[in-house]
Amino acid sequence: MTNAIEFVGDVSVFSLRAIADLFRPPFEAEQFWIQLAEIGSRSVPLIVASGFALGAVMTLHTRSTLVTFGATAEIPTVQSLGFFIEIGPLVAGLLMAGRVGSGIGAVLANLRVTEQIDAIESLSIDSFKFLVVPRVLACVIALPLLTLIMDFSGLVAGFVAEYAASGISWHLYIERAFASLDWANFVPPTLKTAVFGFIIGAVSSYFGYTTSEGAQGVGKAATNSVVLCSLLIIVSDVVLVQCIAVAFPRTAL
Amino acid sequence: MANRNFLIGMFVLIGLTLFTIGIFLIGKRHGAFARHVEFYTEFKDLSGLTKGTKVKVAGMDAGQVAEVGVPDSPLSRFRIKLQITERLRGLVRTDSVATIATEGVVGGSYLLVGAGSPQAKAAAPLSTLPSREPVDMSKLLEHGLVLLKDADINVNKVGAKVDETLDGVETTVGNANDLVVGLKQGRGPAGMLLKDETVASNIRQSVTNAKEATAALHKASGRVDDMAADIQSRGVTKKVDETITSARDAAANIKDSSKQVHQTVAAATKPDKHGVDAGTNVRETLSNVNVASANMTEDTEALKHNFLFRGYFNHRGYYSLTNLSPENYRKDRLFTNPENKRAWLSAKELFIREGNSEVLSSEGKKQLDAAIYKFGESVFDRPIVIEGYSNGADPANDPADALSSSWRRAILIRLYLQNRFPLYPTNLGIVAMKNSPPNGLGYSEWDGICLVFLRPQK
Repeated sequence: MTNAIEFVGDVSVFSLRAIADLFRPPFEAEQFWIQLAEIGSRSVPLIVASGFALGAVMTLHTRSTLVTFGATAEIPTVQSLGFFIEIGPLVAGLLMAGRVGSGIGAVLANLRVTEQIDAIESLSIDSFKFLVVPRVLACVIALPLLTLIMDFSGLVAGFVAEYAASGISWHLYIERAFASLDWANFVPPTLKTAVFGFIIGAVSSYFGYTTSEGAQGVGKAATNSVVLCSLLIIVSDVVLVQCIAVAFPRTAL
Repeated sequence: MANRNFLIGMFVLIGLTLFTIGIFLIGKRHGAFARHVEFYTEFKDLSGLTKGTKVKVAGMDAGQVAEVGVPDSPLSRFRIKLQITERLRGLVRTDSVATIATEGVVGGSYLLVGAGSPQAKAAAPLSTLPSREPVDMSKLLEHGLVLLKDADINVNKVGAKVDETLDGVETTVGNANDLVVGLKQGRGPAGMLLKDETVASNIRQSVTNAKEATAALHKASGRVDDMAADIQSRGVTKKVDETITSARDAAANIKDSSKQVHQTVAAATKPDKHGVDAGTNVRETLSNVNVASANMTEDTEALKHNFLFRGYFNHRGYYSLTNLSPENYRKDRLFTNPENKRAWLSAKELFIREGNSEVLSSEGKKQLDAAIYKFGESVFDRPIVIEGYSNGADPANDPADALSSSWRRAILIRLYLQNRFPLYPTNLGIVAMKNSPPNGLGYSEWDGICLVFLRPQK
C-alpha cells in the first residue's frame, strides 16, 4: 500500500515536473517535431484503419437495432454522436496508449539501461527536458488531432455501410449526422484527449525514464506503460465525462 | 528531415481541417454563421425545454432557444427567448403560435413556431409570440387509462347483452327450423299453399300480370317523360311565365284604369260650387227631363190634333201601333188605303178549337208563312197591322164577344209571327175589328184575320 501511494506520488511529481519544464527554457523544438512526427504522423494509418473498421461495424450493429423500431433515419445521428462523444476519443486514446506508450517506455528504458541518459547529462543537457518534455507535449498535441481523424474515419465508414444498405446520399447523411450535434458534443470530447495524451506521455516516460533494471526492465517498462496508460485513460475518461456534463449540462448523455 | 516535416505538416493540416469541418457543420446546424432575429414566447410548462433547444419554423430548423426566464411566482410563466434565422423571418407573423413538440414518441423536445397567416403583420423583433401549452404525456396516459377502464366496462356490458341476444337468436332459429319443416311437410295454411299446385300457378300468373303492369307503367312513365321533355323543349313554361307576366301587367293596367275611373267618378260626383252633390243634380235633371218629355208629348199630341198640323202628321204617317183603336183605325186613310197590300185569311183555314179556345192550326201557319213570303223582303222594315175579325157566338146579341174573339185572334197571329220571323215588335200592330172590315175594301164582313202591309208614305 505504501509502495502504491509512493508510486502515485512519484508519477505525480514526474508529471508536474514535465508541465513545469514545458514552460522553462531552453525549449527543445527539434525534439518536439521529431516526436510529433513519430507519435502523430506515423499513427495516422493505424487510426484511420481502426476508425474505418469501427465505424462500419457500429453502423451495422446500430442499423439492425434501429430498423426494429423503424428509426433508420437516426442511424447517422447515432453514428456521429457515438464517435464524436466517446468512441473516437477513447479508442484513439487506447490505440495510442498501446502504440506510443509502449514505444516511449521501451525507448527511454533502453536509454536508461544503456546509460545514454547519463551520457546526455554529462554533456550538461537536461535529459528530462530533452527526452521527456517533447514526448509529453507531442502526445498532448497529437491525440486531439488523431481523435478527429478517428471520428471522421468512423463517420465515412458509417456512410459507406449505410449507403450500401439504403443508398442514402452523402449530403443527407451529413445533414442528419450533424443535426443533433452540439458544440459540447464535439469540442470538449475532442480536447479531453489532450489529457489522454498527457497521461500517455507522462506515464510511459515515467516508466522508461525511471527504470533501474536491465533488459528485463525495458520490457517491463513497455508493458507497464501500456497497462497503466490504458487504465488511467479509461478512469480519467469517466472523470472527464462528468466534468463535461457539469460544464455543459444540456448536452450530457 | 524534409520527409519528417512533410509528415508533420500533413498530420497537422489534416487534423486542423477536420476540426474546422466539424466546427463548420455544427455551427451551420446552430446557425452560428447566420443572422438571427430574436423573439419571446411564454409557457406555463416547459416540458423539458432548455437553453439551446432546437427551434423550428413551419417544420424547418430555424434556430435555438437563447434564454429561459424562470417565473417568480406560480401566476407567471416561463419566458423563452428564441433565435430564428433571418431567412425564415417572413414566416413568423403576429398570429404565429409557438408550441413545444416532441421528435417522435421518445425523441427530444423542440420549439415549433407555426407559420402565420398572410393577412397578419410580420412579428416585430423581440415581440412576444402567442403560445399553446404542450400536451402532457402523463396526463394523456392517465386519460387513456380512464378510457380503457370505461371501454372494459362497456365491453363487459355488451358481452352480457350479446350472450342474451345469441340465446334469443338460437331459440328463434329453432322455431324457424320447426316452421320450415312444417311447411315442407305441408302442415298449416302456409304449407298447404306451398303444396297446392293451383295456388302456385295463380301466384305465378299474378307475378306475370304484375310484370306486365310494371312494363306498361314503365312505358307510360316514358311517355310522360317525353311529354315533359317536349313541353320543356317548346318553351311552354317560358310562355306560361310570359302569359302570367302579361296578365299581371293587364291587371296592373286595369287597376290603374279603375283608379282613374274612380277618380273621374269622384270628380263628377263631388258637390258643385253650390254645395249640391252630383246625385241630387242627376235626380233633379232626370225629373226635369221627365217633365219636359211629358210636356213634349202633350205638345206633340196637341199638334197632331191641331188643324194646322193635323194634315202634316197624317201625311207623314205618324202613328203608334201599340194603341190602335178600331174607330180611329177605320177613319185613318193610312190603314184603309186600298193600295196597301192585304192578305185575307179565313178562320176556318187558320184556327182549330181546343176545348173552349182557338189555336193556330198547322194549315193556318202555312197560310201565314205564305202570306208573309208574298209581301217580300221589305216586310222586315215596314209596319204590319193584324186585323182580327170574328162573328162571335151571336154578334147581334153580344157584340162584345165578337170584339174579344177578334182581339184574341189578332194576338195569336202576332205571337206566331214574332216567333216565326225576325220582326220588330213596334212594327207589329193589332186591331180588333169584330166582323166588319173598313169600307171600300170589297168585304162587308169577315171571319178570320187580315194582314195589312202598309205602303210607304210619299
